[in-house]
Amino acid sequence: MQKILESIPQNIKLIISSVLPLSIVLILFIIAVPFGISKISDIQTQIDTATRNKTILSQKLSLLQSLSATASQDSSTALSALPDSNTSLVAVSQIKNISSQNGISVSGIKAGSEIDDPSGASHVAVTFQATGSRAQIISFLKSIANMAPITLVDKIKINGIGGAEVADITIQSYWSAFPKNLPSLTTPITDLTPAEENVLSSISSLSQPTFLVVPPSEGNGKTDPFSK
Amino acid sequence: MPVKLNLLPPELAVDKNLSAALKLTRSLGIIFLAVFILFVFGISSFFIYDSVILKNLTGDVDSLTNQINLQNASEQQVVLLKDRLNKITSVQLTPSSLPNLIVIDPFLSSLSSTTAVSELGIDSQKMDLTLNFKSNSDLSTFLKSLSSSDVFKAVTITSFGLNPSTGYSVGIDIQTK
Repeated sequence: MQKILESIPQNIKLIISSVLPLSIVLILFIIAVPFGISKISDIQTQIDTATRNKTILSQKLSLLQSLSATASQDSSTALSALPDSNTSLVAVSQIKNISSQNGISVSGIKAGSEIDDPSGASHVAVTFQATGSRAQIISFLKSIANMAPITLVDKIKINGIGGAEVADITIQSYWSAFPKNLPSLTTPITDLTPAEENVLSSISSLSQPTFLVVPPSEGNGKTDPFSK
Repeated sequence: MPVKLNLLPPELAVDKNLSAALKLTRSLGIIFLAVFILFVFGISSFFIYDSVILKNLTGDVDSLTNQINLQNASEQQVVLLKDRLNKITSVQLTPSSLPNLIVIDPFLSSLSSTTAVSELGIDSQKMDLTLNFKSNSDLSTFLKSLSSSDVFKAVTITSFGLNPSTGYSVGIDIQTK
């Protein structure tokens, strides 16, 4: 080794001793600059994401705290207007209630099969015959359109027989399944828009179905279910 | 006067130009090394500063996440409420036949007691009427009231009959706007 070093000319030794440090520094530059810049860029990206998330979460928390007082009542109202399962039975019950309130005789109630709407809601067509004066039928249909669950009057055919009129009516009663999952934590939520407030206000006045609550039977019952 | 002596053997003597170039190279090496050290120091300081900011932000985000998780029930209700309201809005845009009934009712209510509405079919697009008029004047009054109204898109008489005992039987098809 010593011999090899001694055999290298002095000029070459000088060149190597001068150029080698510069080369090493340049190589370090080439390695360190992209590495350092990429690390800084990564951490800046993380800071941007965290800042954005913090803003979204702060806004979300503030909104949830302000809505928490009314959200329960409002969602119950909306759920009663658009339930999560087939509404044909509730619609039939409502038709009977409203018909008696309007002095209308209703017969031949039939519910069809469920139909999926492009909006994501589903509906069932309910057909029936209503007998009464035209004024009563119109009042009855207005009440039908103003009942919960959301119901649209699809077709009306009124035949005049003597004084009374018989109307063949088809209505559509709507429902929609619950949303399958919650949006991600960092998805912003917004307060109700004026249009949504209007819809909420309009569905708040819908006539609600009345359900009969059957009380539990009295007595102790059988202690041994297999005894006679 | 100073005398410049070079006691090195001639084979070790370095060319003047090469010597200047090597001197410049050494100087450049020192300058680049200093710049490199400054760069490393700067980048490291910036990295440490950003790490502290990121740590604080992550702590804030974690804290907010925990608080939002405590409001989970409210969030579910808000999501449900918005979902229902959007779908109810879509449903309410579906055409209904009730507005057509409300539009035609005043015309039918103004008919004389001798005129009978034997059939009235209504959907969201159109109405089909069959009426029996006892007198010609009742018929013309009714048709005039329909034609003078601007609430209908088109009014078409689809059938017309005269029976000496029951009077005029008129079928009318009305397209709504």
